[in-house]
Amino acid sequence: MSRLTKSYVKGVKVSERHGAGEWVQERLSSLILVPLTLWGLWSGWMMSGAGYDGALEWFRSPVNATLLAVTLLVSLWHMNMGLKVIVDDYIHKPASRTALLTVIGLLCVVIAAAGVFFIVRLALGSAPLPAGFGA
Amino acid sequence: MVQLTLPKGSKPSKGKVHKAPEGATNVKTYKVYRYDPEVDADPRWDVYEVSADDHGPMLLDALIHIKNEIDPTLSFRRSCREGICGSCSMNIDGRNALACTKGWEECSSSTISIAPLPHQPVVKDLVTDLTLFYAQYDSIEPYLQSDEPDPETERLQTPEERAKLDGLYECILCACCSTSCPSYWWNQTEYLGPAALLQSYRWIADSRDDATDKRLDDLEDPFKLYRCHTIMNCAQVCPKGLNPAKAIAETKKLMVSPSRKKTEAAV
Repeated sequence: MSRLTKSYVKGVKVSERHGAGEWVQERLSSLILVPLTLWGLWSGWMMSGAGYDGALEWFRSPVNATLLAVTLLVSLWHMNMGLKVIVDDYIHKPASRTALLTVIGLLCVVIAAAGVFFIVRLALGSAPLPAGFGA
Repeated sequence: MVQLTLPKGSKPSKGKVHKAPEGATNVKTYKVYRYDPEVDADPRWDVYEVSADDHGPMLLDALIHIKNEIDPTLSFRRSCREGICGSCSMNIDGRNALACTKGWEECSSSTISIAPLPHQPVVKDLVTDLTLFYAQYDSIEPYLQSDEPDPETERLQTPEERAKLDGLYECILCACCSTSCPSYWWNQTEYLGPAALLQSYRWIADSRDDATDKRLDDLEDPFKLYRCHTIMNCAQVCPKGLNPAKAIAETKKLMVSPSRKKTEAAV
């Protein structure tokens, strides 16, 4: 329901009857990210000094690649929800709000697709970029 | 977009200075917001120098002294002068409070600023228009709704059930909490604000009330309830020492409780 279609009774908004689900999702994604972030930091620490080949080696482990993809996707899911809260708080023009939320959503999808694409390539032992791209 | 600066016509300018008489002792300086939308183009800060020896210990005593002895044009609301009616809520020294329970000695600034409750339309000087605030209170249906037929005597509850209402029933609807909440500042036409949400939880928590599921349905909304981001200004400023943020947190917990049954949406 957008701000244009929502209804009011005596100046007070009528409930849209959702919001608890989003609230649970925000907390659930945070909880999942706690161990994943610690794992990410630990992995980064362990990789220090291993060099470029060491990093490529790390990506070839299916456990590492899967956990990294999950971390990326959950982070983007969490980020999308967090940015929506900020936009809802501060942007009051319905058109600006819809436009911003669409851009943020698309950006998250693009980052997710690109991220998973590169993780899969590295996990399969390919070069980060397909032949013909980059150096 | 949120307004981060005051719009034209809202920026207070310098106003009149009412000097203390020669030889006055224990002089306190008050900077008071003055605005009459029907006459004034802009609000202004009037300064009053008052001898604290001439009035009682509370800010309200100082204001009444100013109105009686110095400037009868000053407008403010007050009634009980003992923190139970909630009329004299205003922004004192940068923080929402009741003028009647705030002592002038508690204010640390050398010049004590006194302004109306933030982000509310000003009727005159320190008097704000709380129409929306009261409509929000009205919307949460602040009365007992029971499925049981009316009993011959009181509806009983155990001391434990009654204890759950402590920290909730004491709210005097002074609006200090709601008007100190940034979420309420930005979205008050949609967010109910801490006062209405605390009052709503007061009935949700009441063992004698049977409308809990309906009350929760009426609150479940990304804006009406979930604009609370636990900023906690409400609990900081409540002159009764209540914690609306905790009541809101309890409501959010009940929203996802397995015992909740969604009711049919009203058309």
